[in-house]
Parts: sequence; structure tokens; C-alpha cells
Amino acid sequence: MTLIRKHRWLQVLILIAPAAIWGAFFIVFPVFEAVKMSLSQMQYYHLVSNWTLENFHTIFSNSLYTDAIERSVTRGLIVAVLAVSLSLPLAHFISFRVKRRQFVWFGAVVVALWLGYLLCIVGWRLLLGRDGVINGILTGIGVLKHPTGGLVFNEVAVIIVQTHLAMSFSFIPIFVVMQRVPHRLMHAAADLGASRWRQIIEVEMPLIGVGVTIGAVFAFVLSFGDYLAPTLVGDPGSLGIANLAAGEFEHGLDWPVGAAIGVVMIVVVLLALMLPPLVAVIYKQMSRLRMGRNVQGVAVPATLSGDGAAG
Amino acid sequence: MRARLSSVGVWVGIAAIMIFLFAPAIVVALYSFNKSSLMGWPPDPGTLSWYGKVFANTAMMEGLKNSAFVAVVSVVIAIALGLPAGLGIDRYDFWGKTTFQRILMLPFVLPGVIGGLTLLTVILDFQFELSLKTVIVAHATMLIAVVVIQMAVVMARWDHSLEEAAGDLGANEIRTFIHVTWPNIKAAIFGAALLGVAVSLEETARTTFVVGEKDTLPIVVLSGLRRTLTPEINAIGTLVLVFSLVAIGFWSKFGAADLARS
Repeated sequence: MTLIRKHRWLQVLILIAPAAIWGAFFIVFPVFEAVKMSLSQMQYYHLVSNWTLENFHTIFSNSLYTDAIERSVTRGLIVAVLAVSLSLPLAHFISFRVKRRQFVWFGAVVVALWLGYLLCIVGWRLLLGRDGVINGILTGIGVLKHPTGGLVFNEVAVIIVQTHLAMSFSFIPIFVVMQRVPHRLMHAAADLGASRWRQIIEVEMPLIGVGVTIGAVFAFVLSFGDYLAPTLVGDPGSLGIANLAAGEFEHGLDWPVGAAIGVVMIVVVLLALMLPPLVAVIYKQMSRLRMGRNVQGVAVPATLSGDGAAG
Repeated sequence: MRARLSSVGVWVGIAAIMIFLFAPAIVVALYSFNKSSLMGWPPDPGTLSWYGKVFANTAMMEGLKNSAFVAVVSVVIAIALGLPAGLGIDRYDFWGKTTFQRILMLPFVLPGVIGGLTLLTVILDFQFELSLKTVIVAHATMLIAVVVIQMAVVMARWDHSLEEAAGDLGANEIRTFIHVTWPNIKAAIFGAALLGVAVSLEETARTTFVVGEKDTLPIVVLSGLRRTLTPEINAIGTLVLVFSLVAIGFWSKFGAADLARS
């Protein structure tokens, strides 16, 4: 006991060692193992570890894989744009237009987003299906003569479902940064004669840029890594790279190729995750430049223009 | 006049977004009371029979039992490892601390497909058997991140001078933890546990990779979805949704109260 009290490093060790060991075994080691498997080959139903780049060559030379990568990246970007452009007005509305009980609004949105993967898919299938709600309403009001089966099992349905799922990851970071935008700054801009759009573009946007980037990146990552929506509401043409990775294991085809796809996906996701810190640095530089300009023109208190952009 | 029009436009836009967000949940709940099994338009609610069928469905009940077991064990592991780690991160500066934190967060930011796939490569290479144990490993690894985040939030909020005072008055670290620290953080940990159960109950992406013969509830539902929709899925889905909403309610009351106050 006295030994432990004397040495701080022993205290640290006791506290973090269990989690560190678990993380080493089940987070770090599996990534190494996946990399190792991606450099192996399958021969006569046995894994042979022969340190080859053959699997990566297969992925990047076969249009089956390159098309799937392209499709997943494109869809990820579309979902990111949609999720952010739905989250932004909603977060802005709750932050600046709702005067009382903002907490209830925020809670309601979180509740709606807490639907979970499968229920979200079930819900959208009920909405978009041939006998579904949307078809029912459209034929009811006379827009359609007959219900159409064209609403579900296609690319658009996948994008709708993924956007819904992604909003839980994009709305919260955007809402959090918007809560930090000082209202008096918006009022000041209004008092100085800025139109509502100019207030939003020139005052609000620079302050929330980093949060928006985080929301967009999370939405992209969700869509890029999703392999359930394409199989459950998409058509065969909407299968993405994650489906190919899962397929190699599910059907016991070629594990090393599956592992190699996993490694490629990890690289893409880590690259995407580097974007928010990068944007934060750029914003800092930009606000420094702008402050220099403002010193000559109209002075802006440093605490107002600098802090928000950095946070 | 223009201002009035644009204000109407804003409300219509916000209403459209809210309908987009709520529509799936509403139809799932609505059709769980549907009289016909076809779930066509218009909905015809007015029966509880699907809820009765859920409880008579052995595959679903077996799945629910397995899911509950996985959720409870994973949450216990996540707290046993995440709570001391959170304390260590809060109290001490040590070499590699940022890396340690980032690695613990990794399962949370990487898509589930990668968490499941990488874990499966280990299992295949070492020829471990797939079972509920491998599912528990996958879930616990993810939930540690939830507990560590929660610890960071709660530790940043309360007054550490109380702990120092206990130390000055002669209490050792263990007594200080039991009598001073724990009473201050137990509500948040309870909240994190409920959130963890809710997350574990609906985890699908990782689970499909590492599940063995015994299926969890989402896996049962998933294989049902691959065939056709039945109102039973809506009924069990509505039950799970209600449970997670209650769990989140508790979490936000106990765990996130500090968050809201900040």
C-alpha cells in the first residue's frame, strides 16, 4: 500500500492497465491482424502467410472493386451533404428561433434519431413500399393513378435511409457548436444593418465551421461503412465496398481479399477523420488574417472573433 | 408581407425536416397494432395480437434473452475497465496519454464493419469459436469508449477540492474514492450503463461478423427482414424503442444533467 502511494506511476498503471491491455488485444491487435491477413493468400482453403501485395493489386485492378469504392465514396459525399444541409437549418432554428424550451426540441430530435439501424430500415420500407404510406397518400390525393414499386429497392432509398441514420451523427456536433455562437454577436450584426442571410454567412458560419466539418465527416463515415442499407433497401447495383468486404467473409470466399478491403476502408476513414483538425487550423489562420485587417478598419474585440473560430 | 412569407417558409421547411425524422418511428409503431398482417395502405390499427405473437415466438424470445445477457455482461466489463481508465486520464499525466485516449475512442469513430471485420480476422487466424463470448468482446470494446467519454464529462464538472480535502484529513485513495468520488459520479455511471445497454441491444454491424450459433435479437430481426416484413418485427421493434427511450431518459436525467448545465 505504501509502495503504491509512493510511486505515482504505479497508481497510473493500476488504473489504466486493464483498459490498456483490453485495447491492445481487441482494438490494436485486430488491426495488425487484418493487415497481416491482407498480405496473405488463400490456398486450398488454407491461409498462407506469404507477405504479398497481390490482394491490393486485385482490388485496384478489378473494376468490381474499384467501382464499388467509387460508388461508396460518391454516396458518402452525397449523404454528408444531405445530412449537413438538413441538420444546419434545424440546429439554427432550435438555437435562434425557438425562444422557450429549446431542450424539449433538442430532446425530440435526439429521440427521433435514436431509432436504430434496423427499425429505421423497417420504417422506410413501410413508407416507400408498393403498398406503403407514401404510395397510399399519393394515389389518395390523385398524384399517382396506381401505386408504384419504384420508390424502394433503389439507390435513392439507400441514400434516404443513410441520410436519416447519418443525421444522428451530424446534427449533434452542429447543434453543440451553434449553442456556442453568442447571440449578442448576431444582434450586433443586425444592428449594424446586416441582412439575415449576411448574419448567417458572415457571422455564424465562421464560428461553426469546425462543427459542421465534424458532422459532415461523421455522416460520410457512416454511409461509407454501411453494408446493411444497400442489401435491405437497395438493388444489386447499389452494393458498396463494405458489402464486398462483408461478402468475402460471410460466404467464406477469400478472407485475405476481404481483409485487404478492410485495410483500404480504414485508410479512407482515417483520412476523412483528419479533415476537422485541418479545417480548425485553416480557420485559425484565416481569423488571424482577418483580425489583422480589422485592426485597420473596424476593430473587433479579439475575444469575440478569435475564440469561437478556434473552438 | 415578405417577412411574413419567409417566416411561413421557415416553418414549412422545419416541419418537413421533422416529418422526415419522425415518420419511420411513427409508422413502425402504428403498424405494430395493424389488424392485417399485410401492412398495406391505409393502416388499420386496433389489435395487440402481434405483441402476443412476439412473446410466443421462440426465436425472438431466445434472441432477446441472448441480447440481454450480452448487454449486461458487456456493460459490466466496460465499466470495470472504463471507470478506472477515466479516473487515470483525469488525474494523471502520463506518457502516451493522448494516444491511449484516441485508441480507446477508435471503436466509436470507425464504422462497425471495420470493428467486426478486424476482430473476425483474429478469430479466424487463431481458430477461436464464434459464440456469445465473441459478441460480448465486440460490444464491450465499443462501450468502453462510452464510459470513458462519460467519465471525462462528469470529472470535468465536479469540484476536485473535495477529494483533496479528504486526502488532507487523512483518508487514503481507496477511502476517498468510496466516500467522496463514487457518490459524486455514481449517477453518471448508472446513466452510462443504461445508455450502454440501449446501444448493445441494437448493435448489428459488428455483431453479424462475430455471432455464433446463438443469435442476438437484431440478428433474428435481420434474418426476418431479408425475407418479408411481418408486424411482429414492428411489435418487438416498438418494445425495444420504448425501452431505449426510457433508458435515454434516465441517462439524460442522471448522466447528462451535467452536460445540460454546462
